Amino acid sequence: MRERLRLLAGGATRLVTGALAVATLGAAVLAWVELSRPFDPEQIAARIAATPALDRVPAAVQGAVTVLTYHGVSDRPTESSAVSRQTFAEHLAALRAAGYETVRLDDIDAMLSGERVDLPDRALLLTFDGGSLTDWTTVDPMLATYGYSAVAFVPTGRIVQPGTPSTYLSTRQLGRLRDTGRWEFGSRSHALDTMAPVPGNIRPALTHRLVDDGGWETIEQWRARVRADLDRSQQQLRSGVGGPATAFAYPFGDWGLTANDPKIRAELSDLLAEAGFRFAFVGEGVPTGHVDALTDHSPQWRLPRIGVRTTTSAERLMEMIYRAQPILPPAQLTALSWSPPPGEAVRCVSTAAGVTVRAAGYSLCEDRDINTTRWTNYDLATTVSGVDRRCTAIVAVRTGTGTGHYGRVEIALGNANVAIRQQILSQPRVTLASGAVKPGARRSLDIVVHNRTVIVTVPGARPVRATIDRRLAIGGVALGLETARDCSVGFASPRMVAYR
Amino acid sequence: MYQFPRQGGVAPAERGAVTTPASYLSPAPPPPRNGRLYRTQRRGVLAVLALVTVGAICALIAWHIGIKVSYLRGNLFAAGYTIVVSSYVLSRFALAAFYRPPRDVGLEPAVAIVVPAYNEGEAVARTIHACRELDYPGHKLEIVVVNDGSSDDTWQQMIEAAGRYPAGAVRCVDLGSNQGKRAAMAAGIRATTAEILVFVDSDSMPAPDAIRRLVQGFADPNVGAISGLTYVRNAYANTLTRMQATRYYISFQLLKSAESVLGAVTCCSGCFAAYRREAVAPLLERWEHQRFLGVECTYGDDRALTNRVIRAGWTAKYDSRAEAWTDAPDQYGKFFKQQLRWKKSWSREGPLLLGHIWRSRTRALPAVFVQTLAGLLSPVVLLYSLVQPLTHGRFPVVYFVGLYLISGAYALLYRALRDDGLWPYAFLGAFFYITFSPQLLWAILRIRDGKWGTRDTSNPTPTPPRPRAAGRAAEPAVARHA
Repeated sequence: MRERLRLLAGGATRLVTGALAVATLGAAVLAWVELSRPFDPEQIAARIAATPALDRVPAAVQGAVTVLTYHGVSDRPTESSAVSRQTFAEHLAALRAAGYETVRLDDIDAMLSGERVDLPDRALLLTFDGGSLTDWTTVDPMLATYGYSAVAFVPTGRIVQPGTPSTYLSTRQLGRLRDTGRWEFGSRSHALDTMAPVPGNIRPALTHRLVDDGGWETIEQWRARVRADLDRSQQQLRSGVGGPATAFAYPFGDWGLTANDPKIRAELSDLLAEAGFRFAFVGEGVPTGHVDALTDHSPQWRLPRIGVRTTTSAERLMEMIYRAQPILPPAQLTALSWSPPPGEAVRCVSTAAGVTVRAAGYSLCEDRDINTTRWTNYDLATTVSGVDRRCTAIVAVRTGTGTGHYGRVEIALGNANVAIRQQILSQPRVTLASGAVKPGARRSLDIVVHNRTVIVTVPGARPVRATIDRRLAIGGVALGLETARDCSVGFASPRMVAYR
Repeated sequence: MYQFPRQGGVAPAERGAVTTPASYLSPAPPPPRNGRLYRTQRRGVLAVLALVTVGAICALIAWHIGIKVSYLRGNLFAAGYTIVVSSYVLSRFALAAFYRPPRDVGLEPAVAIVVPAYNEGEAVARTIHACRELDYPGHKLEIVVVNDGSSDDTWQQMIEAAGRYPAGAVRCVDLGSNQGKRAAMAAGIRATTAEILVFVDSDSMPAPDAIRRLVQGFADPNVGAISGLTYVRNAYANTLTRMQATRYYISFQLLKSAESVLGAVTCCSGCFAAYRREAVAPLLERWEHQRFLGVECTYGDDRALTNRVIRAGWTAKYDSRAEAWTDAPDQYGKFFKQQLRWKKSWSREGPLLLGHIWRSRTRALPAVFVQTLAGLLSPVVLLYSLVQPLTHGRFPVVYFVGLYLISGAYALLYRALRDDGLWPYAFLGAFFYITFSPQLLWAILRIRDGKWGTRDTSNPTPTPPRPRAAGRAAEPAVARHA
């Protein structure tokens, strides 16, 4: 009995020893594999969103390219700027539903050079800033699903060797992205995509003279530093993706607006050109004001983009895109959707015959969602009714709504007077010119707006002419009235003829 | 291992006047059946599983090396060390898999067994009897026992034991004064003319067929030295001896096998090894009076002799079928002193070997190079890895998991080859040996200190003998031309 017990105990000990050895060895093997495996994440299967029903489709504007800025796309954002896969899928689905097609950097280059480019009706450029690993793991499969191409703006200094754990792309992934044919590459500097110390603060390293070694960098040192960095970045792209980049994206979207030396703003584009870049994008951040789609008139070194935020829904994105389309002045202004200023008790009634404004006090009706940056030179004509001694009709041109500036030019048609007034920012309105007109229930009004000149013609009176401020070079049209009581003004068949 | 001078040491039970080798092995498992490596025992399912796992671990290490090579960057020293050392470990497994013991061609040359003895007491008698029990024709076997000026009754024990056998079968040589192990061995060599010299430590015990097997390798005329396989006789005495037993076995079956494939066993261990007289004779003087950094070398006689034989252009082999048993220290103090001696001799002979291996045995150069360099670096790397959590704030998990895997591979290899329940000690032992590997640094610092370490103050350091005029007879070289 004792013998059997002893044997049993021996067997149990051996079993425990063996099991322990096997278990620890297994753990060691797993740990070893986990520790020595090179970091090479696979692509994640594309997420697909249902095709949304769009309330309104952004206008198709020939020669305009809508540019969007993303950072990472991730469900586990390491950057606060990353959007979720679901959101990104919804964005792509909405863009697809609206009929957007992506274009290449060559098209942009040609367009900016003034060449004729055959662009799709709704042209799109998707850009991804920062060289995030998710460009490879997450974005690329989704682009493939939706048939889009994209541009990666890479801070080349952050690119790692293959196998290195990183949240940035590796050289191999960069090569793989290039091999898909879906991706083009731009530079986001080599290593100057950081905030760096300036006297008393930290500011974007690219556009500021920095504090270095206890001293303050001179403009020559800044120039040398930026020049070396840009060359390095181009060299890296040459070896990494087979060619230098034509496009640059300013880190933090900072093109030198707040630079601590005036020469920086003036010289940065020269340095970029010297390094082989042909154009540069701003607009990495969130658009606080107004963003335009790219046209051949866009400033080569400050190309606008719409920054996409983590919280940007597909509806919001489509709204921003809608507002970015620089439509031409419509022949019939009744085609626009006239609406009162938010929160004001104004009635803006638009029918095929015309627009009627009914309000008390000073009110303007306007289409606030259109982009009027190309409304420069035109002839606006309408027939005004309802004006009397206490009710003045107002036609505002060059309103800042839809262009991003603040201010407008107003043509006020009173019972016996017509005046051209101008308001800039929140300064008081200034009357530029005025003239007498004959009173009447219905009078036609013709307004010619040409660069800085506004000419108002009311039949039976001398045209009134004024030169407006150069800050009011573009802008939309608003219709309204000014009164001390409640009154109603009709603008019958308002129409525009645009010319160069 | 030369128990010099012996201070108690082996348990009295094992020192009893038992005369047959078989009974000396009583606490030890029955000697394994002879055969090629990986054929030493009937394999069970678990053994096969263990072997498969060893293969899997090797594959894993190979994969790791591949990754390290293809993603070479960052700390090039660390990566290089990993690559080189892992490759070395892998190469041991790979080469050992190709190891085959020398074929039995029925060779029967004249053999002299040289047993140096210092204060062995009756153990020397035991060794003499064991040697007489060997299965080898008496007229071709000569036993030379050298008394290195023992202060106890060793000489009497010798004479008495020799007296039991026909005259000339056991020859006793007395050096008269204590001159050191090398002098004793050299005297033994000079006292005989046999073409094959077998060294047996006074605490070692060859198996009956061991000499017959050991000489077979000399059929190859280029072979100058052959090491046998030595087991630990007192393996089951305590944890320390268990760990040593597994360590001995792994080093013989893995490391010596691998070295044998390359023809350069770097140390034909003193416990039980055979040399061709033709290989030893020309360098006997220089070996006996080897000086290093200005002092006479006392320890490391076996490694030094093998080293010189290789340098002279001979190959050194290992025969896994020629088995012997030896006593391992069963006290930590003695164990560490023995390890210190071994590490000193390794640090001396390693670089000396590296100095000539490129021309004497070019194919072994990479292994010797890595073994020497990595061996010298390993304590530094270990200490660095242990300090890293404090200095760099991170624990080098990869390093320690790697050590764990390699130890696991050793233990499983042991389990695959031997089912005696000791395999967990191979695992434990690997870590134990690694833990005190920084002892090497101390060994290097004390390399000129020739003391054996176990000496008590009453025993003076052996006086190095002055070089003697060579008075050797011309050695016949039967085996070489057989």
